[in-house]
Amino acid sequence: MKRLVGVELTRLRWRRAAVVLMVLGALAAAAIFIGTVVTTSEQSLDDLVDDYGSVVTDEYDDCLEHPRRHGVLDDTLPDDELATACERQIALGWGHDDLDLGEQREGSGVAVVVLLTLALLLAGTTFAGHDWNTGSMANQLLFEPRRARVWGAKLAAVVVAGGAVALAVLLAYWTGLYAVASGRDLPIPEHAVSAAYKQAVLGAVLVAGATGFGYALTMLLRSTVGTLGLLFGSGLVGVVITQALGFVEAERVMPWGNFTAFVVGSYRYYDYDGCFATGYEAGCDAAVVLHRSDGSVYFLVVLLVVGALSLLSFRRRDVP
Amino acid sequence: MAEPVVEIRGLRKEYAGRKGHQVADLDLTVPEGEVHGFLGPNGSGKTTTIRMLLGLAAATRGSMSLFGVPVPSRLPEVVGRVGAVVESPKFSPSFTGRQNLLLLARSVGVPDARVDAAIETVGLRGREQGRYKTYSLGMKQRLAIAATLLKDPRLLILDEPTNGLDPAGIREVREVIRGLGEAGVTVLLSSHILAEVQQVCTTATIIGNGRTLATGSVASLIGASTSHRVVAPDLAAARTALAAAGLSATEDDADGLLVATEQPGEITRALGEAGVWLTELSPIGGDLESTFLSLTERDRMGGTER
Repeated sequence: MKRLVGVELTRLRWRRAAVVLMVLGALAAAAIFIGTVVTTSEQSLDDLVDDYGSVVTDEYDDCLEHPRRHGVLDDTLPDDELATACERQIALGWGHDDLDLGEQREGSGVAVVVLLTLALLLAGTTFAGHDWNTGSMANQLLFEPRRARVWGAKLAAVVVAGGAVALAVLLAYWTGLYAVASGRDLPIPEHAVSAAYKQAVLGAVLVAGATGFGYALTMLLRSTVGTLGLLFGSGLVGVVITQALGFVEAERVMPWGNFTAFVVGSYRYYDYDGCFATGYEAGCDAAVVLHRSDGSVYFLVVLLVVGALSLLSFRRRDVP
Repeated sequence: MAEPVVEIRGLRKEYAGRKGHQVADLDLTVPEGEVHGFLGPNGSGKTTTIRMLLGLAAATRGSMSLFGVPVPSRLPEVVGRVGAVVESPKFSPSFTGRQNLLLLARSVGVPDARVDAAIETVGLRGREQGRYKTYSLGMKQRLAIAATLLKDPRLLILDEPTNGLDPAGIREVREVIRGLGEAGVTVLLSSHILAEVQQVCTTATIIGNGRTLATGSVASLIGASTSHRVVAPDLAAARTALAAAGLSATEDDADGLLVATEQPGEITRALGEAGVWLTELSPIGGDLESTFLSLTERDRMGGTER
């Protein structure tokens, strides 16, 4: 089995389309990283004037004349210190937010996992699809006819590769943000760093699962195009589910909320209908929270169902 | 008689949702050390039979064995001794020829050096680093044969191995097959090129409509030639009369018809009753083609509905 997994890892490494998709995932993460660094950088008064024009200048001038209106409480400051204080206040109001690892975990960190998930899911799909499209699956089975082993080896290869790529990218992402925040002398709570790395590991697990899901679904449908069609089609099914169940109930079974719950730890949505039913009694909490355990169960069930169908189909159906 | 390397009994293949069968109660025996031809018209079930034997398709019923081991249940035990090319060669087009072979070799623990030896044997040295999609059909066939040699097979199953090859390529492949046969490798050669089977094979099985029509040594099959050449002044009338009598007649040349029957009396009676007079009636010298045509045509005329 170990030998087969090694062969499949080599096959994956030689599959240009799969490698390109993995690189694209990493590049997307790099782009988000650069965007995050830029949009959290400190801005001078000149930068703000460039961005927003005279409204900033007017506010700055007003601050110099009426410092208290702009939060500069010490009106005995000499002119140069007052100018610095006003610049700081203007930057607070108009400039970028500081880089906060905690906030990024619910923002750009999730975006990186989403993009990696999409890229690696497609990599898993194209890896399996290629074997069917070219007919080389039959050739492989002439050498190793134990289909369950072949299926398992390929799955192991895509999951290991997908997980490793995602883990490397996510660790690099969070290490990079940590380094930038440290370089800017921003306060970084210790738990924020450990939480970021925890999210990197969880994200890698999710991406590995998505890679395996793409592979298993394509092994079931035996076509890359078919799999992509089904994935796009499932978007339409999502609309139907939303219409049938209602938006609030659909939240529970749609991927996005469960995805966020798994990566971030929780996902909150609001069920106002519940409060409405009770006549908005005082203290009615409309918030519904999906926890990481909910997301875990959701994705585990999806993976197990698709995986079992895929393996069963591969073992029983004729191979062209 | 040597132990059979391939043994198939009562093999049947039906597809769900489709009427009839692809293979029906087929029997096939290939003794050890033979180069055995597997003949049949297009759609007769040759490739389906081979695919079932190799575990790529499930049989509806029947039994199969390779080297005395029942397959597909215990195929993994013997697959290391079997090399096969099924239908057209199928490899990853974006990989080089060598990469394709390396992946197959490593999957069964064959050392990389064997890949280079196989490449050498089939004459692909110098082109092994080219991408498979840039190969000519002949090169693809050679690569497929190289893949079968990776395992040092004792049984080689080749499905139309000379398809698309130029005359030189065909000769080379025939030489390879002959050489393997002489080296004691059992070969099951599926082909529609009858001359090829006649030249290369020692025994053959002819199938039609998914059933075994004849089997035996090539010499005995040729000896059982069942065609006759008929020449008559009015060939159209002769053909009509023969068809009415249930005899299959195909055009031999401008002057004569080829009639598939073992009994020349059937021909003279059919034509005499129709008032068509013969000017020539001669048995056709034995060749596999006439045997094949005679058997498959007879099967088609009286064949069961699929």
